[in-house]
Amino acid sequence: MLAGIGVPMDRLERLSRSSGVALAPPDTAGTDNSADNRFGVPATDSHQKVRVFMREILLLGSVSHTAMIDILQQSTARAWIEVGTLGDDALVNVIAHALQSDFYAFFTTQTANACQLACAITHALSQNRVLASQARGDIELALHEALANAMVHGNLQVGGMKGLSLASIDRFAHDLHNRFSDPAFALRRLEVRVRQEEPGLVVDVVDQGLGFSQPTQKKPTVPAASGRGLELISAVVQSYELLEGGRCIRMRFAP
Amino acid sequence: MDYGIDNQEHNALIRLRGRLTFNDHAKLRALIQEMLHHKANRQVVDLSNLEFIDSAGIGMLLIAREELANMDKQFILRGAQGQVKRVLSVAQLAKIITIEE
Repeated sequence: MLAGIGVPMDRLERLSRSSGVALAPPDTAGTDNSADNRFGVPATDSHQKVRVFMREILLLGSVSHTAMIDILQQSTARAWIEVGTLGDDALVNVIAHALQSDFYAFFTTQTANACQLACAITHALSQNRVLASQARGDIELALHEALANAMVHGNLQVGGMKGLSLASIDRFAHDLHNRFSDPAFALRRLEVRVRQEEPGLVVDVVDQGLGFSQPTQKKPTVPAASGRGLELISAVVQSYELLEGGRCIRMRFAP
Repeated sequence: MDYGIDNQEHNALIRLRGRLTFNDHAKLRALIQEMLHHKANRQVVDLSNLEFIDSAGIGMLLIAREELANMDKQFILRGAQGQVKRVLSVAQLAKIITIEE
């Protein structure tokens, strides 16, 4: 089923027809502001609770980052797709991808960062599936590192903090700020695909950067400020592999 | 991430709270500057209220240690628990930084 927040009703209906995914029924229970309760109307920026439906694909249109955080926290959807500047054809394509995963997320780098996406996805997964607290911690850490790599090194093309000095932090801060302010980088997309492959989970994190090949040389003897992301990931996953030229990390979690 | 600094007899005790990730670079930089200018030679960072740390956070702690060492100041971590303790262990940080329980 297809649902939307901050997406005009006529567009939702069009997308439903084009994608072949039925619209979710309107929410008739609970929320007190009935004028804004109509399905598809932009959510207000306040902390109004928004009822979303089990297992729908949720399109997120004109929604502030603040409202987005609340929405994701309470969402039981199977997919979160940030509409942003995507046209209908692109959205139909993304919806088709979402249907192939048990959980799916597609956000711009800017929004993913503002919404603490790793946290939100881990929370959503733990709502749908019993996750032991250790497993939940592992998934959150691995997702956070994978998304951080995808955002910072992948989409924003910012290098890690190299030397052990304040100058390294300054350079990193400067580059990060510049890239987050540049739509050519900040609007690049991140994709998270989760599939249950019993007994465990497979999680892909994909970026739109230039790709990456894992260095084959041994770890440097002099400690560096950067470069531990994959090491942390490998400590908490069953296995991982880099695909799509390094734009995708596929992580497997044991049950 | 937030922090507070307690001045003690021979130490500065810095308490970190919240989450320390790559987005906290400005806060960490400010903290390091404060630590560098603090008169105490022994700077103890209490992590008991830090809920989460990522690899960038680890890197920034290493930078803190290095910058303080350049000024002959000691940098000590203590009270790590849960996810933070796990990450410090995986990164083998105890080989480089003094870590107390």
